[in-house]
Amino acid sequence: MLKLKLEALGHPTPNDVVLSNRKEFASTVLWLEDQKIRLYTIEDRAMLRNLDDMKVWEEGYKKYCADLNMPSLETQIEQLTWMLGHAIRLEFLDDPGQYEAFNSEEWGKQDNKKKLTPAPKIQAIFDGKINVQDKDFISGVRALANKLNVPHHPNHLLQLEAVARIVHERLSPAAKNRKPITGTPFPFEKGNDIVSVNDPALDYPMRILRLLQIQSLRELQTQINETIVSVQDLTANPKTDTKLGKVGF
Amino acid sequence: MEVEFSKENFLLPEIKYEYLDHTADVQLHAWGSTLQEAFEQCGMAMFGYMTELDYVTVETCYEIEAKGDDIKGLLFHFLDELLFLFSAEPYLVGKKLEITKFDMDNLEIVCRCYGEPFELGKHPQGTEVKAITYSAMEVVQDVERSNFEVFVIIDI
Amino acid sequence: MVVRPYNDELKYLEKISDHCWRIKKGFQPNMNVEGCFYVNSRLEQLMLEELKNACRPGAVGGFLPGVKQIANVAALPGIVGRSIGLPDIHSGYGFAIGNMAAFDMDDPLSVVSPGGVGFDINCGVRLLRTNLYEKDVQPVKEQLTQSLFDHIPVGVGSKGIIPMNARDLEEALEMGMDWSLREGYVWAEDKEHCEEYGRMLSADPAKVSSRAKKRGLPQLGTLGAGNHYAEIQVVDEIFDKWSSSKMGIEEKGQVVVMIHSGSRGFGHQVATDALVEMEKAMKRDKIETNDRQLACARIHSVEGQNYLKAMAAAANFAWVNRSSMTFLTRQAFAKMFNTTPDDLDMHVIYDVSHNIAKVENHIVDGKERQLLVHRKGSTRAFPPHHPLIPVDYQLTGQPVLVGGTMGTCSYVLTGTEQGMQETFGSTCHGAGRALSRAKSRRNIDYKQVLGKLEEMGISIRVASPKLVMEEAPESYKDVTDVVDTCHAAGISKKCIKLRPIAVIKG
Repeated sequence: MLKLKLEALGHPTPNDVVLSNRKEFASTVLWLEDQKIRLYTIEDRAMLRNLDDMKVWEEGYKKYCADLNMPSLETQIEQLTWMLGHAIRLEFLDDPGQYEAFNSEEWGKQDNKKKLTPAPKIQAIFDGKINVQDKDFISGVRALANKLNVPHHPNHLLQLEAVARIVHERLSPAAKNRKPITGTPFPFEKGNDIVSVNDPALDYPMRILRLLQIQSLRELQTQINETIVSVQDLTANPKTDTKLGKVGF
Repeated sequence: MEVEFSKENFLLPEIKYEYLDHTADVQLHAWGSTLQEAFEQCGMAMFGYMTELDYVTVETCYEIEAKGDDIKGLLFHFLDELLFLFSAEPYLVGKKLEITKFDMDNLEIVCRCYGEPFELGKHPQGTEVKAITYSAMEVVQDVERSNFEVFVIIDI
Repeated sequence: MVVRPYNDELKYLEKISDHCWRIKKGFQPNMNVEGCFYVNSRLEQLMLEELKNACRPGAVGGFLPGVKQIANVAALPGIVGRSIGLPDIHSGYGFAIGNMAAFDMDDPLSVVSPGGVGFDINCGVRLLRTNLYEKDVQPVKEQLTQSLFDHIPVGVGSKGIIPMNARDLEEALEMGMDWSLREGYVWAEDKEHCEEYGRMLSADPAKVSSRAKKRGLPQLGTLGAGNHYAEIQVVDEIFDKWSSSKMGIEEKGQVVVMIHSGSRGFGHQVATDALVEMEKAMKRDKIETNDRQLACARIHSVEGQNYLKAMAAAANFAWVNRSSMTFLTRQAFAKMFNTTPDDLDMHVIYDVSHNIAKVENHIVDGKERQLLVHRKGSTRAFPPHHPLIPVDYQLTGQPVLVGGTMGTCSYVLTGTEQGMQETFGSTCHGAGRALSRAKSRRNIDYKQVLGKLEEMGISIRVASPKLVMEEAPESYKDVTDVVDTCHAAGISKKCIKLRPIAVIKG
């Protein structure tokens, strides 16, 4: 995903960005500021430009993060992801008209719907009694997410939803008593289905999404079956009467 | 509907039908010196395919009626009525058919079917007839030589 | 029919790939689209020979050759894509058996044809698995075969043993397998593994004649005659380990039960009634077809709608019928092995229809369109992730059950994406006749057939000896050829091969 974003921004060598290397990271940040974000004047970028002396650079980077109003993010990847998102946003705002063609009306409507749903859902849970935009609330959510290793998301309510799912599925008493699933695992990369052979970046997440979809469908189907069985308890009375017809010889 | 009949002087007609070669289905070929006779024979041919008529005795008699828009339609509906007689109450197998009204002007038939209800164990099971078809249906009427023939494919 | 010398006819046919032939426009008059058929070299010979025989001067007979029938279907109003012949094709009433064709629902001139469904509406195959192995069944095979024969009514004139009155029938026609569920004849999971979940919601029993209902009532829960059967089979070969394990088939030797049956006299009468109605509608709407047997009506006409609603009721009848026999089969096994069907893990793997018309969405020329898909002697074969297949088969693709004939193998295939694109998600249904019934009776000896089956270790109980000859394997195209062709052409994928050890038949 990072690569795709870098590519979209026109980074000259998106495939070669090695994030384990701090220097590499630093030069990517510099490239972003130089080419896309342009928060500082050219002169103010001196410290960020100082790639030979990483101590100076780190200092400059710290200030840069604060000036960008970047939320406190722990890892390099999260920070870069945030910056890339920011850069893309700026790029878009430069000339929104240019992208209009990519956004058919229908799609836009669907997109809006999706964006709107998560927030009311959470708000409904708290019944409006808690101000979910309260600073303490937000920092509480962030802390909880941190503890459970939930990745950062700009919308803390979405993060809270993810937290809720983890608690529900892994930590609740019901989940703890659940037997582990046994059987032969299905190697999902070997199925008869083809997603996108040439593009692993599309193929892999698609398969994961499909598996999740199948899992929730299975849950639904099991619930349906359970319902049918409980109705059968009341209605079922199978019988045969061999007098009606002759069978066998 | 069931009608009364006398078992005295009851004669069985000679067989004037055969089963012809056909890929998935079977073709009934029946003939007679009148068209009426060819129709009767064709009906018996169909019963003969569903079981063996030698095992059938004449115990009861039902009367059916059939109508059509043309001669082929009449034959089609005549056979369809007979098939129905076998497939539902009274499950009758006709050993002998006797057309008592053969109205070619209004295309109407009334036919008496002599036989008995099909009974497993007594009657050998033949092949099930799914439906009568118009496919390659032919009605040959050679009045001069008193030669009448019908060809019907039944779906089995 | 256009009569041309055989060599001139061949000019309209073109082999476009190893396993597919194209039928060009002009082969028959007024073709709206092209036709095609799938064959391998052996089946190709049979197809062309049939055409050649029909070209001989003075040739008479009931049905047109299969190729001609495909082309006549291509001339029906509203047809979309191609008129497709599957490898097991043989000529039938109007449509050949093994012909599929799709019609545009949005075209007001599009038609529905009962001949494109067949007389035996929703004839189909159901496969039950067990956790038994061949070695468990072998010692009691004869008794088990007899027990199955004692439980399931078979053959002409047999009557169902599940008590039913006219009101029950009305409900069953409307509810399909939901009726069987409500009455407790089947399990909740059975419904899940059934095409359409065992119920067509469009069914309307009020559109069915009382004659059809009278024919249907005594026959509910009976196997029928002809090519219908119930077989005990063992897994002979597994081609696709992952998919078969998803179906609960783990190893060679595992025992399964296959039930091949349809809607009995009920469906036959629904089809007959509709054909009579449609003859009139065709005259009124001035619909012209190349063949009188291709009786049809506009989809949106009263006759068309009535047929579709009655057909759906017949489809529901067939599902209740197969469900009733599922119940009887489970009883027979449970009694024999002195345990419960549950403990024998007798789940339905899948249930397919191979004589049916359905409204489906397909991509045609890059656009999604709503089509009325006729499959006559053709099985739906949807690819992985299609929303209409059960959740358990989302990754494997829909199981396709291909029944053999008495004594030959059967296969389980899975649907593919290529099939979805090429054949509207359709594939073969079985073996397909090669010899006529009369010819079979003349050429094949009853005792010989039974002897041969015994040699192969197959127990058999059959109601009519005549049938043994008519249904002898020699009368049919080789099902392995048929299945291999579908696999090679990519329109479905081989998964499991099954070998019969016991057969009960009409």
